Amino acid sequence: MAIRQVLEIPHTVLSTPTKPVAKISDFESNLAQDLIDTMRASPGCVGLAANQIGIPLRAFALDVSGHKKTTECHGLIVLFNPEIQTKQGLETIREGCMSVPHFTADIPRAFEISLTGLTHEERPIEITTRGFEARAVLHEIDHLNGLVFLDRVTNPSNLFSRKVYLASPDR
Amino acid sequence: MNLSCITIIGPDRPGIVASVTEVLALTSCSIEDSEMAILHGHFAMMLVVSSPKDIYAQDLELSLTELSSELGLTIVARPLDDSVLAPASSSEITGGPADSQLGKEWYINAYGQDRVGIVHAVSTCLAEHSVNILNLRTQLSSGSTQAVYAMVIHAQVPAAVDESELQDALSIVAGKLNIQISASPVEDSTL
Repeated sequence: MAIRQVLEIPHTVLSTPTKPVAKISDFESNLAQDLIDTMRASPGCVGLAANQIGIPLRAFALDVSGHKKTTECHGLIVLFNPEIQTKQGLETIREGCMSVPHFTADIPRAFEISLTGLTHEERPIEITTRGFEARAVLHEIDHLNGLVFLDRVTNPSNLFSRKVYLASPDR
Repeated sequence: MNLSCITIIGPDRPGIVASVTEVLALTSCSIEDSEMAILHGHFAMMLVVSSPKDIYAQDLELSLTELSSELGLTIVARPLDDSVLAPASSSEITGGPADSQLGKEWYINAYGQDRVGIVHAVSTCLAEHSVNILNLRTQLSSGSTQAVYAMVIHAQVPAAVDESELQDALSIVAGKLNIQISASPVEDSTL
């Protein structure tokens, strides 16, 4: 359908919890395709929440296949009204985000999760996953709840600015 | 044994820590606590060192003079009063406040469009609730559209503080400054 502009903080759509979809009509189907198209067109992007492209609805697209940190993978996932059901374990990994291009941070998140949601055909689905894919899901669901990874930093030393450090001068 | 605090600031380059600690090692100083950061491209470091009883802070500053000239650093050493101990340590000795009265550690994260007064407003709100800041880090970065300011605070919230009242007060600050603030107690994961 279309490659949409990805919004950056401090945009209010990113800090406002999204609303569940009542039914999946043409608008929602087009939204799903826009999320996929925008995600595919953005280098390094493995997931995108609807409010990142300005639509305050509970939906995300995600595909971690081919990423070097991926251990478990369900391929392309597009979910409406996703809800986390269970969380287990903890792992801390450096995260970045297209909506927070200025920073990265070491973020602790659950290692293994199960979630429910609706497919684009309005079919209920349950997914259990772990590792990088679980992290990506949690990251997208945070977006849908109006949170970005900066809300999850648990130590001042774990926040990093994307800066170019000085090259070594000759001594 | 003498306790001193050494502060070092100056233009960043590789080898500053190695050079400073070489002088300290040659002076038989032991580094007790230290923190280093690069702030806006400038090297900044604080060290608390213990030195042999005949070596004082002014001797350390003197021994670092040559290095400070060579690397363009400002190095200051001051004696430290070692009677100032952390509350947890003093409670062990004197029967001071128990852990339950000290309260919980919290992380308070704030970010938004850059403007003057974010640190002041948030820290004033915390001070009004007797919250002690243990560690604070701010970063200003220019995004593709505008400058974004991010701050992470690690703080001690006394047990007597009403947590929902503190959350409400921080929400008011966030609203006034048009920034996002999230605050939550540290989740203790005993594995």
